[in-house]
Amino acid sequence: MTQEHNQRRERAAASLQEARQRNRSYLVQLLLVSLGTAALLLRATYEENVSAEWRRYQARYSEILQDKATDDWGKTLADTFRIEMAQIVVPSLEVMDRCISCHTGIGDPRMADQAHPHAFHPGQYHAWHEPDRFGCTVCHQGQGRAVEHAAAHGRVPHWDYPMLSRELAYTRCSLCHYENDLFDADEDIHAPQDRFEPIRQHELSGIIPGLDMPRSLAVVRGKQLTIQYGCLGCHSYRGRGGTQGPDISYVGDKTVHAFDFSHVHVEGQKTVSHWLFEHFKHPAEVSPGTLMPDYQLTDRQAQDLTAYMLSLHRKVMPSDYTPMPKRADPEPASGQQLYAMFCASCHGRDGSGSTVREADATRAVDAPPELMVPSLSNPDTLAVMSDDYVRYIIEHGREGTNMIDWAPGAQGNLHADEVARLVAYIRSWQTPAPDLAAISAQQGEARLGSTLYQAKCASCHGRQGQGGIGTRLNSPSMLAVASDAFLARTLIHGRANTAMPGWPQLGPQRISDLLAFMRTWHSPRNTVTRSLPLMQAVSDQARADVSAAIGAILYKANCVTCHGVDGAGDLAPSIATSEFLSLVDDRYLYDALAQGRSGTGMPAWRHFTDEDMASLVLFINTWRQGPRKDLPSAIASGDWDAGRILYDQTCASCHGPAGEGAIGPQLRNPEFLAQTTDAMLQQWIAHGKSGTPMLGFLRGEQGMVDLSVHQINSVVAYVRSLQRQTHRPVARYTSGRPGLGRLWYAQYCVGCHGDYGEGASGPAVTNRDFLEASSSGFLMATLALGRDGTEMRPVKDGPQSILALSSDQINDLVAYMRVCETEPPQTGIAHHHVIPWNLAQGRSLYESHCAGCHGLNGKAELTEPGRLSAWAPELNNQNFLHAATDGFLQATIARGRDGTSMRAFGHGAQGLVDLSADEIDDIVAYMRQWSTQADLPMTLPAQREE
Amino acid sequence: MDEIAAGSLRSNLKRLPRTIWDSVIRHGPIRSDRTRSQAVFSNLFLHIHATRTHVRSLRFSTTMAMGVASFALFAILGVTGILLMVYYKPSTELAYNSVKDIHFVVPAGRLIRNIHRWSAHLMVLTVLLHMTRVFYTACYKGSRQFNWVIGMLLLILTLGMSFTGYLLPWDQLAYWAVTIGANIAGSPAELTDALGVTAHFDPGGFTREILLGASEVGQEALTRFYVLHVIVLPLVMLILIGVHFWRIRKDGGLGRPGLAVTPAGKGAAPEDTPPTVPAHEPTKTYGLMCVVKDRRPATNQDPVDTVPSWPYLLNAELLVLVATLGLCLLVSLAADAPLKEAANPSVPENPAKAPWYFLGLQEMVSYSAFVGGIVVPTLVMIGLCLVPYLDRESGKAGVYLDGRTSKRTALASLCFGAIMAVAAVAVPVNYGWLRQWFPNVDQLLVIIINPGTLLTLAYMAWSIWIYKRSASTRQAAIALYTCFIVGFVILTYVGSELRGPNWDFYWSKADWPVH
Repeated sequence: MTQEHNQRRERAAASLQEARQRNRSYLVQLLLVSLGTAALLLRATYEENVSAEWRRYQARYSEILQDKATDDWGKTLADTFRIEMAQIVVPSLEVMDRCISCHTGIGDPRMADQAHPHAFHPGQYHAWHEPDRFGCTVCHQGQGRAVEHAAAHGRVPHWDYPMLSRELAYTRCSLCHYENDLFDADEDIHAPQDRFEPIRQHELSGIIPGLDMPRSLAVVRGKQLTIQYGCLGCHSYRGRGGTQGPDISYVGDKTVHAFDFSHVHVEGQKTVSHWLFEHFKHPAEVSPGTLMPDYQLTDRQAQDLTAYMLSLHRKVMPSDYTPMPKRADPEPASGQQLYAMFCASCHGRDGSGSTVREADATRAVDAPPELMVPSLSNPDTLAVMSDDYVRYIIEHGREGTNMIDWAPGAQGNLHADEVARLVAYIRSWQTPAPDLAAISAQQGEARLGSTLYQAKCASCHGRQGQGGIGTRLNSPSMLAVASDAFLARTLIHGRANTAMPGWPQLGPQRISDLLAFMRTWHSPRNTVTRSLPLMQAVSDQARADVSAAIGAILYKANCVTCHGVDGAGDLAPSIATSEFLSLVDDRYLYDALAQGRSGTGMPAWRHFTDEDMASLVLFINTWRQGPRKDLPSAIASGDWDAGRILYDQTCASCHGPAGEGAIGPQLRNPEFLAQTTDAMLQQWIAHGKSGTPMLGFLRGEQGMVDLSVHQINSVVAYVRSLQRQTHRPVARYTSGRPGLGRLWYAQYCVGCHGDYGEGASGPAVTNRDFLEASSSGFLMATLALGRDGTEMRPVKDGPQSILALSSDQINDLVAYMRVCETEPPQTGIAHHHVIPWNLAQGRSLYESHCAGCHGLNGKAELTEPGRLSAWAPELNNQNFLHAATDGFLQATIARGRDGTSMRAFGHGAQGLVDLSADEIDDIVAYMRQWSTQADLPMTLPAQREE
Repeated sequence: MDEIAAGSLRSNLKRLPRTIWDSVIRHGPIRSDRTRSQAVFSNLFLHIHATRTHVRSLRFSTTMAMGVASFALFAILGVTGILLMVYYKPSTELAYNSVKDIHFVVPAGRLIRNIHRWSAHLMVLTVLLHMTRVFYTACYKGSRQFNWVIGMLLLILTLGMSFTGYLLPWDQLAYWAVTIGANIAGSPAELTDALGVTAHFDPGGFTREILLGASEVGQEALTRFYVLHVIVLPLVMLILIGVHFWRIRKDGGLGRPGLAVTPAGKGAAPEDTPPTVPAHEPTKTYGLMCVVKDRRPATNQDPVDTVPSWPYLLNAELLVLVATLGLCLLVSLAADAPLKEAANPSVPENPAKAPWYFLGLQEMVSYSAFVGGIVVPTLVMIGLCLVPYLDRESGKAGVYLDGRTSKRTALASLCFGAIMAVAAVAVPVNYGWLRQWFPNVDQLLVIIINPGTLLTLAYMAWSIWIYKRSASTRQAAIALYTCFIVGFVILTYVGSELRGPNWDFYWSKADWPVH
């Protein structure tokens, strides 16, 4: 018991002993650990309260203040300065900036000579942007809450907004200011409106007027680069622009997370600006597979562009911080600017088109899809494509290619006016139209014209002008009625919606040559010296080939349509009146027939033989009722100036100003004035022409005004003077009613000329170029006489008429077309009219001649990933087929396109292959059947002349 | 009696300090072990200790002090947490900036936040180590069975505290880690989707919405997490810690070698007996002893091997407390708590990683959110809770891996667990998994049969095999627990160090594609 007790006591003592030893060691450890912990706490206290960075700066600033305290105010400032945390709080901007805890001297101009962080803020920005109202980080970014150098300046990981210093600080201006936005600046702030306005000039200049900000120039230069390099062709900005690349509207709001840095050498600066800079310098490396070309920018340019991209912000500032935009220049952006912004990046700044070449493709890590962009400024292209075509392609794009639709509300979202200005700008590349006055067949050299004709025209119009794709040119009736001016204008401007391109680039001399050559087809078969003597022979003995009876038949066949039965007048003036016939001689009648009256509906009947001419004059002479008056060879000269006044008062109401013709015939007509003598004029004025509205004006006659002989002589002198004016106006007067004309048009003409006269199987008849060249007489004559070699038949009641329209209806139709000259009807793309003559042949021709470049079925196909098989633009897309008229296709196939790889295929065009007009039509027909919206043929084509 | 009654105002005033002191501290001056014991006994806070402590318990190696360290960290977290609450603004718009303010301008704010952040990490570690120590010393046996379960609850609560606190800075790290957590909560949808019944029965969507209060992580989630973090979880935890401590005291004190195991339920009187009525008026009061059958207060404790808790135990505890605080300070001065960019729902982190202690879980979640994130962890937790109830062998407690067999089992399990865990990662990384092998396999199968489940099954099979072989539940438990710990460590390492963007495998962070 005791032993056990002792053992227990010993154990208890041992336990206590162990516990005490352990306790001692624990106490020592406790002491050490406590000392250590206390030391750590002390250190923390020191760091927290004494050694903070900003405290050191403020202590130094306090000394600087004392040094600079020269006056009372400075002393007060220095004495009251306390070292404490300082901050600017602007709740509405979510600003809490403690920058001024270190940058103490930012608002004190005396600190201009100090180094950072005590320096004064340079420039005068504080005058407009009071720090108390704006804070610091609004402009400079960085971490306003931090009070340590690296953290505050945003140079720490996990801070999205590194500090922007110097030039880059100006990228923040656009948070409030509009001026550096590309366009639609106020869209962000004001409530969305249903307005969509064209881009204005002032939106493209972009510098705050009257503000001297040299450092902000990087942003401004970047903006100019953005416009010049056509960034918007691929990137859209505020809803406008291409869709090839990412939207750039608010690049400046993005953080590094939005960018892929895996191909950028970061080297410690993983910032948005670094990424953008590298991207501009080496697009293919930074974004493998991108279409973005390497523009070989200089470092300066890349920096400027980077700065500009960084400045693209959404306007999220409160409205009292956002000044109203200064509307400096409300002019809309010009076509040239728009072209540079939206088109130039693909089509080239000069419209020469572009291709992403092999070299560029291999530089990219992954081969990009080949991009082929057609040339726009090529003369052939400009000649062939109509404004309607260009507008349609711009507005609807070409699906299957990179051309997107730019219509308002579509992908590219350009304003309709802007599209129109773009079209006009593209058109401006075409050689300006030469002066019509400088063109005439007389000046031309037929031999040179012949060579030119064979090179440029023969493939469509045939070697002898017999027609093919183009109309027959050697048609006598056409050449008889078409004046040089009409032909010249058609050559210069082409005929819209037909295969006839405009050739302004030929220049006046070569066009004159061409005219001279064409006129050789129409060389006269009669001369005055042979025709008139034949008439004399009739009086001696009856001849089989010259007689008034033959003349009557000829009159019935050719003249009655206009001059009426028995020469009573209809569309054209009466020629059977005694007053007229008693004054004119045979020579006058012959000249009128042989030379026609240019600018009126009277053709030159040069293709009549001597005998026919003599017979006609004989027939007209049968209407004579009395002997010819003897006229003096000359009349007393009148006062030209008085004559002019009298003409304006008395004659102009019928004969039009300066005799250009109105209700009465055209006086200022070279042929007319050459054929009439002063005495004839005097007689007509004095005594009128019975059977016409022309009354006698001599005292005692029925004229509205009584004129003395001298006054009449003065008027004659004035009319004669008109002969010296070289300008030959196109007579535009019609007596018809346009409203009715529209009805007749809709009833009789739409079948061939299209709903709006835009052309179908027949050519366009309401476009301005055509109407400006066509006198009312020309239109009237074409309606009345038709045109040989084309499907245009006479429509006026007459021997060969197909419609038997009255003369009133003809006048109405002419009137309607005249109205179209000033008020063009809603135009459209011409209907397509090629009849699929032989689709199988068209297909085989296409496959053997076209598919090599344009691809089978007109579609580019991928032969291997990313590589297209086609070398030429895709043809089989609906927008292209809709916009391109058959004429466009025919002309392009026949003539090729200089400056591109498209060769000529037409017969006689010295191209790769000699395709006949029929074969070209077959190809067009084959292409046309790709179109899902092909119009049905409107009329049956004329039988082909084999 | 007279002395008290006779106190004049003057003498009372004179004695005022003394009487107030005595009224607060009810024991007298500390002069002997007895008064010290009395002090321990009569003080609410110290009373959590037994008055006397076994001398073996004082050795550091006995307990590794991890329990006390955990409590110390809990206390540190409580204090720093309250300080942070003063400045923190639980609003999605203000939270991030208020943390920035705490970092930059609140006096000592950065230190406080650092301590709070690092203590939280440390606490997870200490709690896990504490659990491991308790397991290997078999201190979950007998009447301590339920205290082990409470310990498990405290582990879960600690993880819950960490998870809820993780969101509060509202930075990218927080946002996306919590998004992952919320997705795990919503992962039963994976199963219901595979079964095609989500439209009618969507427990995943329900739990996710309960957790977040919205369909995405946002202000509602922040508010909920804040409330959980600052009041609900700490309160529950405090109560459970009290119970945990109290039961240690009731179940025989701190662990130590030679701790006798009393089966639970043996402490109460077998049946009601009529109280013995003393023949005469008692002259003294009775303590707790009258409800205890034995004659001594602590029935399984030999007073011979014990020493007074004051000063020996209290000093040791004080040392642990100060050392823990010092460690936290050291870490906090050396490294700032992480704070990434402000939360940005439109810019997902890649890889978005949960805190390190969840990365083992996330590794399994990468195979299947539902099975890896819910089924397996639940099974593991239930399995761990059941350990004391399945292993009821009355072996010795308080000794690390008592006996050679245990040590061999532990070593073999270490190897087995490591090999299987490595295989569970290596096979899918190198050869793909079901979806790659059989592209048309049913999604349900892919969900159920994944490396995580196979690993769990392998561990269970191993444990059963050990049981069959040794016929000892303790050995089976050692095998299972060792495998669990090894698997946890390896998967956590893989998840934190070897996984990169898109949860792809990378040997080093340097191999990550620059992002």
